[in-house]
Amino acid sequence: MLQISRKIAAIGALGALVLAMPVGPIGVQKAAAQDFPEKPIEVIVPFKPGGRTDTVARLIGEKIQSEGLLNQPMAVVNADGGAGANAVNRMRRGDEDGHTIMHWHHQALIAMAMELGDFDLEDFKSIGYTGGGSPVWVVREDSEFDTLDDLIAHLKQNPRGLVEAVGIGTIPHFVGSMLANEAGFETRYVTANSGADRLRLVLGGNADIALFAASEYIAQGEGLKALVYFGRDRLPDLPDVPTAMELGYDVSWANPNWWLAPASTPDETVAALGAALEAAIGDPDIVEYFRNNTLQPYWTPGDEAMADAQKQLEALQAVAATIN
Amino acid sequence: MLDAFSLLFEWQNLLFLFIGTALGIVVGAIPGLTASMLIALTLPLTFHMDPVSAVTLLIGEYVGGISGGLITAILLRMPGTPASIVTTFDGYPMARQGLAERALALGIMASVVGGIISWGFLAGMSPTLARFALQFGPWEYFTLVLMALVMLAVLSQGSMIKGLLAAALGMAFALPGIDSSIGQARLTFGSSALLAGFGLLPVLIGAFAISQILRDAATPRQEARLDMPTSKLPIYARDMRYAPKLLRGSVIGTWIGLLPGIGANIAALVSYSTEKQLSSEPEKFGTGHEPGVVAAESANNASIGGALIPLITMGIPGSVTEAILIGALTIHNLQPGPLLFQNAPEIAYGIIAAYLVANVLMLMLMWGAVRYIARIVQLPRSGLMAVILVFCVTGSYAINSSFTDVWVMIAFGVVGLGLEYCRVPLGPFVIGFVLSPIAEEQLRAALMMSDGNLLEIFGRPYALVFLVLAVATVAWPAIAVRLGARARADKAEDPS
Amino acid sequence: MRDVIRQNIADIVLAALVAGGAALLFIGAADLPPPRFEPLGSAALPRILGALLIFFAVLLLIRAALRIRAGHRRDEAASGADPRRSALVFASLVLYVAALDFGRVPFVPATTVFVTLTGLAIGARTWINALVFAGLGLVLSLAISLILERFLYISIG
Repeated sequence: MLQISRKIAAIGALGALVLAMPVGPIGVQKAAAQDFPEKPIEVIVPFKPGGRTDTVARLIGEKIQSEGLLNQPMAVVNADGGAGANAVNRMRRGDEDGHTIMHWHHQALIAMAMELGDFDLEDFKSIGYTGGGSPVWVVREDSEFDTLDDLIAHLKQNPRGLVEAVGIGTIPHFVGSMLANEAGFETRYVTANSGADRLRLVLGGNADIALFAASEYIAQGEGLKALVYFGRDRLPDLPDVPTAMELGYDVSWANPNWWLAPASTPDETVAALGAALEAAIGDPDIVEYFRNNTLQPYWTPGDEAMADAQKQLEALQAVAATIN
Repeated sequence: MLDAFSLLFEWQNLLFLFIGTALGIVVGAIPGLTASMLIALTLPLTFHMDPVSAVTLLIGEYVGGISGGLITAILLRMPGTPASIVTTFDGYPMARQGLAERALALGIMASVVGGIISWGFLAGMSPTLARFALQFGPWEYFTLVLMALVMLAVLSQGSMIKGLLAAALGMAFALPGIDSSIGQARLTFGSSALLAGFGLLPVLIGAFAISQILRDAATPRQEARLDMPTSKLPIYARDMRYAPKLLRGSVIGTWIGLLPGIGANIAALVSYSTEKQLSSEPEKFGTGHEPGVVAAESANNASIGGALIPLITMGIPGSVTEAILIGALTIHNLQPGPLLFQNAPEIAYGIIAAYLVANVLMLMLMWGAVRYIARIVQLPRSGLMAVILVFCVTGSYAINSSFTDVWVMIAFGVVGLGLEYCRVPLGPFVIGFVLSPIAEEQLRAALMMSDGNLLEIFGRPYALVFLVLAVATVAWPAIAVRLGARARADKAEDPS
Repeated sequence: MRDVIRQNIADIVLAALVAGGAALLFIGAADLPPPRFEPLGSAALPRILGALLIFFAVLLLIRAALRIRAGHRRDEAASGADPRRSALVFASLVLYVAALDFGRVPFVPATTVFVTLTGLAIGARTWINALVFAGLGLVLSLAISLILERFLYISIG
């Protein structure tokens, strides 16, 4: 699965239709007696269908419906394109009473740090994070490097001696740059805007290093070797892969499933949505999906999530200043 | 593998495959709606199905969707999917000469043969081919696409200047949006709506379907003639002479499909151009020449089989449609990749088996319906056009739930009409639009990788082959004239 | 002969538009960042295409000036064509999308009216036809909105 890709494929203007939850009875009876929501909630996903952000939105939306956590269904709408600009425009068209929300991740912060769209943190109210995951840095299995230190030593001796597959201005680029700035090395880049591109370039020997979602790495099974994990603690599925922090580099990156509402949404509504999401992320089925996909299921309430995002944004802006 | 087939013939899986294929054909045939939309739409429904049924449904939709596009491409000159752009070049002129059924029959036959040949590659040599395709890096992608772009020159009808102008215009319209090489806005002039660029589908629907409808509206009388439906379908024993062309188209289609990010439309284009280059009567292409339809349709269908190879062996999706397929698998906790054959062989082999059976079902469905389908052109044009317009609007809107795309579609309808009025061909325009972003991104990626050293291309044998072919394509007309002159001279000297 | 003149005028207008587009490319390219990761940068392709477009525009002008008839295809919009019908269809299409986008008119009535107008613009203008097209539009729009709204909770607009 293409966990952190900005674009699914270079040619991918083909688009994909809006979609939503399967048909089912609209549960009017179970939920608490309150006015919100009074119609289906539109969840805008700024990517084409099929990726992690889309899948998580659908699974959680379906859980909310089947468990009756809200008395209306959630309908996922895909609005890919323009680094989220399409999705934000779509959100602005909709209601500001909580019936139009977004499910995004920290690519939003990168778009803000790169000053791409006409949106900023002030345009949103954060509903919260429903878990997230961290990536690994990977070389080919037959590579001469067995540890991150080998790799960094080589790069320090041969500056720009290795090729890193990144999409400039995407998460792999920023995460790689954070480590490069911290450890003091430099790589050459080759454009790879999707997880699929990175995979084919590394496996085919056209790039030496690439960033993958831990689940993508595990699914590949052979041909790749992970050198470092960017989470704060080691991943249980990858007990032998050290974290960057352990190796003495103060770099960590966790990409959350971030739920956002327009800035003017009433607080009670945001709280009602947050409560439903918190209950959904605790559900055993969702937890199982997260575990199988090396994601951590957790709940971060809106304010905390916003504070974390603010801090991340500042870090990303610092990186953006060095790459522009 | 045999287990997978027997699993497939369980009634519910076969039923889903049938439904998927039929839906795919219908949706693929409607201008404005495409296979990837249909698959995205039905994805949520597969949450509750067992994984094999889910996969068979989606594969059926994929195959049906790419094949169905030929119907409207031939009958109305409106490609139902991007993959059938090239089919309009010869298919529509055939329909206008009263050979609609013949064009459809040839297209269907070529599609099925293309599908089956590429299935052979998929079932027989997936791992080898996938390893081969992986060696292709930015240089190879760039030179391959450059070769296809150069073939534009041979595609142009009429004035060479206008053909090249069309291609340059198409490329220029592909520029606005986020420059994928550096992730920053380019030529958006501050508009956030332009940040997403002009989408392929709105441009395609606009330039072909909308402009065609506007043009046809001026001449309401029936233009396409249809000879009375014959009792026999127009496929003959002499069509065996197309066997080498079918094989060539299918192999080209499969191999181009292998490369992630290079789609069915490019496969059809390369196959068509190659056939035209090799032909002894290249001037007939574009006027309703049967090999044109055969080349385009065998290649675009074969590219699906090719694209499934990296998908099931490596978990690398070649297109949006396939990315959605992968999404469908992960929802069932199946991770596509090399481990799929060990962890869930029934899925891995199920995909392969479903692809073959979907092609057979597609043949049965389209073959059975071809004579009725051909009568579309006899429907009252007024109602048909109004309905197609509604589908175009709904389809463009539904891509990203955005009216911007609908306005883009209308604008390109006007552009298409204007270009045709000035006799600037639409084919090179759309192909320039499709190809130049890939060529630019890949060239810049190659230069990034090599620290700006263009000479590195000489260390890449496949890239060199493509480059030489591209140069040869440009030089070929001159060489052909020379050879022709020499042959005549030889004849004059030696009259025996 | 008249056709030759018309084609010349079309070519001159085309050349002017193309040159205008090329100018836009150059203006847009002037704001782009300098190459950073590789020697070409964002601005290279816009400039190359701009130059090519201007080159083609000049060629077109020269050819038009030499009064050489361009293209070999037969004029499709020949006898019996009525461009007013096209204009009507186009106007109703623009109105339809504007109504959905800016006017937020519900999908079903807008589509019914649109199909009726378009059908009449192209086909014979009789009352029976109007009824047939209205019915067609109603059925079509109900079917589409049933799929999108009931099934998928998506409303157009």
